[in-house]
Amino acid sequence: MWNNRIQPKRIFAIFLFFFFLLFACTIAVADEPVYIGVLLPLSGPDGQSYYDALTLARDQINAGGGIFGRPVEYVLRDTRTGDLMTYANSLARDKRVSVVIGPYTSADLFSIADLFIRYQKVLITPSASSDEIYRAYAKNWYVWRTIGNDGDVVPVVMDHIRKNEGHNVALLSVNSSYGKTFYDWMPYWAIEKGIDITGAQEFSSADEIPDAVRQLTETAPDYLVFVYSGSVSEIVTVIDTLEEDNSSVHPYFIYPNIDEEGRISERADPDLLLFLLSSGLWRITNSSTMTTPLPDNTLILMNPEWDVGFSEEFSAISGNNQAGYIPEVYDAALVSAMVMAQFIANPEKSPGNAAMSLLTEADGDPVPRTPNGFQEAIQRIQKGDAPILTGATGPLTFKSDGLDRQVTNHATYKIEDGRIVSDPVLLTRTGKELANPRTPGSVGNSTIIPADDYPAGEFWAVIGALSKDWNNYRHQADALTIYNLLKDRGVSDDRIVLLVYDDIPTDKRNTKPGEVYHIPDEKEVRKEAYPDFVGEEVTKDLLPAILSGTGAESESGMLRSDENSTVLLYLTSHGSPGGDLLVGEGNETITPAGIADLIGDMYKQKRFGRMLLVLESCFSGAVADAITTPKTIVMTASCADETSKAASYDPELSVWLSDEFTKELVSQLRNADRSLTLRELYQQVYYNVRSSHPGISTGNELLDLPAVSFFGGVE
Amino acid sequence: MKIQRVNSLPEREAPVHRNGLMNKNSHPAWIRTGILIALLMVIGVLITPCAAENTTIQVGVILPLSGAYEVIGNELLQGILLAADEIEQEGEALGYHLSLRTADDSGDPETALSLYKEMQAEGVPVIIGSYTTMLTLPMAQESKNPSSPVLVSPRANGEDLYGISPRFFQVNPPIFSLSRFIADWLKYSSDRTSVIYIDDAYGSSVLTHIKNGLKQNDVQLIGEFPLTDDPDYRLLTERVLDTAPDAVVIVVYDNRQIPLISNLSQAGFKGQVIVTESALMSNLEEEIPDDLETFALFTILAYTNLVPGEHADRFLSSYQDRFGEDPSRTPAGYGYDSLMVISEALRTIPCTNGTVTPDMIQEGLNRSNYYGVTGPKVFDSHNAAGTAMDRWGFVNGRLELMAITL
Repeated sequence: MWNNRIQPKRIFAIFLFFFFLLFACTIAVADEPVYIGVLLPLSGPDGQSYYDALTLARDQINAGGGIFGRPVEYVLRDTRTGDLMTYANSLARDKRVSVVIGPYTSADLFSIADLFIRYQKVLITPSASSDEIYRAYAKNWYVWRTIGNDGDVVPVVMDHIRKNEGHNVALLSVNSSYGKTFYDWMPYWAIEKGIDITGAQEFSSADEIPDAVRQLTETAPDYLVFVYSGSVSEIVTVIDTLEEDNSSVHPYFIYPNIDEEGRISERADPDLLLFLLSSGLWRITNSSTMTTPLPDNTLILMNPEWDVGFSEEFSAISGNNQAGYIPEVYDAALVSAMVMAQFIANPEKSPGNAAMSLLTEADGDPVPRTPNGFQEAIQRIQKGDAPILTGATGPLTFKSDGLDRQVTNHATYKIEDGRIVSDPVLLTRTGKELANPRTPGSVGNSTIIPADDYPAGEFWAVIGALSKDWNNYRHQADALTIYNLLKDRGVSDDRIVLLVYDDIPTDKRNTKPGEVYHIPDEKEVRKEAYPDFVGEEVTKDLLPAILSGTGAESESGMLRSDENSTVLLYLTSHGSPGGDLLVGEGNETITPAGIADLIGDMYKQKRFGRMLLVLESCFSGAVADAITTPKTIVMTASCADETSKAASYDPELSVWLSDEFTKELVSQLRNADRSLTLRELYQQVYYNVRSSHPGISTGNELLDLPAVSFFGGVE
Repeated sequence: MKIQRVNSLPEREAPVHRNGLMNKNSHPAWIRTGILIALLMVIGVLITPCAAENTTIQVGVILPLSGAYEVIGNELLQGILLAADEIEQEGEALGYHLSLRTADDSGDPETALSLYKEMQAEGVPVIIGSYTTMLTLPMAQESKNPSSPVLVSPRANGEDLYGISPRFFQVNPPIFSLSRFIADWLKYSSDRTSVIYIDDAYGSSVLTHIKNGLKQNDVQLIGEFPLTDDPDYRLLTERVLDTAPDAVVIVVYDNRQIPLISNLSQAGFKGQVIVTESALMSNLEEEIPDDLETFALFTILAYTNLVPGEHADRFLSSYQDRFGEDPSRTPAGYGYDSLMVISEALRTIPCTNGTVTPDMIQEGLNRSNYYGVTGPKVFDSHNAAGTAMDRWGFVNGRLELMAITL
C-alpha cells in the first residue's frame, strides 16, 4: 500500500542520492589528470634532454592551473629502451590517451601512423621531418609536427650555396626516409635556382662514404651537400676523406651538431656504454667526447640559437642542451596540451578534428609563452577561439592543409677562420616560373588546331606498368587508371594493349583482395580491366614485340596501328639517373636510346600518324632528350636530373597508390573538354605537380591539338 | 665445572717468606720443576678442545623446507648437511661431534619463533636460521634474551637485523653494502631508475639504501613500486613503464621474480634489468630465457654464492657429487659456511666436560677468522660478515659470472 506521506520523501531521497552520485563522478573526473602519451627516446644523452623538455612544459602548464583545473600528466614510453611497436600498440589502446607526442624518426612514423589513425589518436612528432610525411598525411588531421618539413629548407640550402658563389653541387645522402627528402628535392630546387647537380648518391652504411665522396668529387662540384644519419662519425669521415684527397670541394652539412667553436663532437654512444658495462668495463665516464674542427668555407644548415628565455628555463633544469630537438619537443608538449584542451572543450569533435580546428584556424596575436599565457590560451579555447601559441621555436602556426608548420625553424652558418659565423640567407622561394627559360614548363602560347584540319585515324594505346612487387603498387595503379580513363572515353579493349605484372590484387598485404585503387576509397581500377600481358610475360623484350606488331603471341596484344593512327604509349616504372626504365625487379632495363629506337622504327614502318609518349618515372626527362622522331610528343613526369614523386598514401595498406604526375594528368583530363590543347594540358599539369618539373617536347605543332585526341581520340 | 679461559692461568699463591716475605731463592730446584710441570699439564688440559671427552653438541636448524621458500630452504640445508659430513669426518680429531636438530618453519615467522623457543627449552646452544629477514627477525629479537641460543642466519640480511643482538650473527653481509654497489653501478648505466621491491622490512630497507646511494650519485629514482602478495603484474608493469625508466631494479627474493621479468619483456621493455637476489638464477634461465634475451642488459648484482679459491672448488665438487647440482647458482654455500663458522668457533672453546653454552659459542664467533666459500666470515661490531659480491650477466643464452668483488 503506497503511503502518500512517505512517497515525496522517498522520491526526494532517491533524487538526492543520484545528485550526489553525479556530483561525485564530476569531482572524480575534474580531479583526474589530462593524460598525454609520449613515444620518444627519453634516456641516454639526447633522450634525457627530451624528458627534461617535456617536464618543463608540463610543469609550466600545471603552474598556471593545468587544463581546466586538471593537471597534465604523461604516459611515457621510452623508445630507446623499449620496442616501438609494442609501445605504440599500448598507447594506441590506452583509453586515457588521445594525443601522443612522437615518434622520433620518419620511418617510425610510417610504421605506426596507421595504427594511431585507426584508434583516432593524434600524433605530434617533434623530429620526423621527411617531406614524404607531408605528402602522405596532409589533410589527415591526425599527424602533426613541430619540426619543419625538410623539403621546405632545401631551397634555403640552394640559396645559401648561391650566395657563396656555388654553381655546381653534388649530394651524398643517407638512405633513409629522412635522407630521401634531400635526395628527392635538391635536384628540383637546383633547377629552380639555376644550380647544376653534378652527381647524387645515397649511402646505407658509414663504410660506403669514402668511395662515394671520391666519386662525387671527381665531377668537381663547388659544394658537396652531405646528409648524415645522426652518427657524427660520418661527418668526420667526410672531412677526413676530403682532407686526404686535398680536395677543393667544400662540404655543406645538414643539421650537424656543432659547438660554438665550430667543432663537431662525438659523444659516447649509450648502447656502446651498455656493451662496455656488460663486458666489465663499467667504471667509465659517459661524458667523454672527441672533437673535430670543421674546415674553413664549410657551409652549414642548423637550428638557430635558442630563444633566450627558453634557454634560461631549460638550463635551470637540465645540464644537457646538446640534443637536436629540445625546443621542438617542448613545443610538441604545448601543442598537445592545447589540442587536449580543444578536445575536452568540444567532446563532440574527434581528436583529429579538434586538432584541425585549433591549429589550422588559429588567428590573432600569439599568446605569450608563460604559465599565464598558457592559461589565457586555454580559456580562449573554452570560449571557442583558436589562439596562436608561442613556442620555444616561435609562433606555432600551421599550414591550412595541416601537419606542417607555416614557417620552418632553421639558420645558415659558415666556417670562417676556424670559427662558426652566422651566414643568413633570404629565402627566395619562387615556385615554378614559366618565364625562366631554363624551366621546361615554358612551352609558349596555345592555339588549338581544329580537328577537321588534322585527320585523326584510329586511336590506339599501349599502356605498360613495367615493375612488380607490392611496394611498386602505384605503377600498376597508374597504368590501370589510364586504362580506365580510356575505357570511360569509349575506347574498346581491342584498341588497348595493357601490360601489368598484376601481382598487386593477390598480394597477401592487400586487405582488399582483387582490388586496386589509385586514390584511397575512390574508384577501384582493376576489376573492370582486362590485361593482355601479365606476370612473367612482362619483360624487356615484350615492348618491342608489341610496338613492332610482330612476335607477340596474343591476338589481343597486337598493335595494329597504321600511318594515320594516333598512338598513346604510356609507360610507368622506376627510372634511374640517365633515364633507364627498370623492368620487373630491376635486373632488366630499357634505355632512353632503346625507346628512341623503338619509336624511330615504328615511324619508319609507318605505324603511327602521331604519337604521344607519356613516361611516368624518375629522370624521365632524359628519355625525352633522346627522342627526335617526327610526329612524336614526349611528356615526362620529371626533368632529366630529378625524381618524380609518389602521391596518395594509404595508411591502411602502408603503400603509395599513385604517382603525382599521373594523378594530376588524369585529374586534368577528366575535367577537360575538347577545347583544351595538349599544350594547355601540360601547362596545367606542370603547375599543379608540386614535386617535380614535368617535361614536354617543344616546338611541335602537335602541341596545339586537342589533348583528348591523344587520350581516346576525337569524334 | 666452569670452563676457564685458555689464556688465563690459575693465580699463583703468594709465596710465604720465612719472615713473611717471598724469597725466590729459598725454594729448592725440584720444587720449581714440579710446579712447572704441573702448570704445563694444566695448560695442556685447558687448551685441549675436549679431545678426550668426545662431546656431542646440538646445532639447531630452522629453515623453510616447505612452502614458498621450499627450494631455497632446502638448498641451504644441503649446504649445512655437506658441512656436517665434513665435520663428522674430522670427528675424533676435533674432539666433538655435531648433531643437527632440523625443523621446518614452512615460511612462517611465528612457526620459526616457536621452534626457536622449543629448541631453547631443549638446551640447544646454537641455531642456524632462517632464510628471509621476515622469518628471522622474531627469532633475532628473542635472541636478545641472555639465556637464549646463539642465532646464526645464513642468508637474512635486512637492515632491522643489523646488530640487533649480541647473540645474532649474519653470515650474509648486511644489505647496505649491496645497495651501495648497485647505486654505484647505476651511476654509470642509468639516467632514470625504477625499483620494484617486496613490501616487507627487507625490501623497504634495500629500497632506502639504494635510494640514498642514487641520490648521492645524482641518478634519478623515478619510481618505487611495492610488490604486494597477489599483484596484477600487467598493471604493475604498465605503471612502471609509464615513468620511462631505462633501468629497473627488482628487489624480490622469491619466484615472483619470474612473472615480473616476463611481464616487463612482454610489455616491450628492452632496457636494463637488475635483480638483487641470485637464488633463482637457474629457474630464470630455464623458464624465461627468451625474456632475458630481450633486455639490453640483464644483470644480477648480489652477494656472492662462491668466492674463488681451492676451498670453494672443493665445496663445489663435493656438493655436485653428493647432490648432483651446481651450488654456484644457489645459496647452499651460505648454509655450508653457517655450520662451518660455528665449527671453527667450537675449535677455540676449551674442554668443558661436555657442556657448551651459548656464551662460549658467542665468544668463539666473535673471534672468527674463518674464510668461507662465500667469503670472509670475520664479523664486524654488529656481528655481520664481510662483503663479497657477484655480478652476473645474461650472455649467449645463459647467466655467466662476470666478476666477483671482495
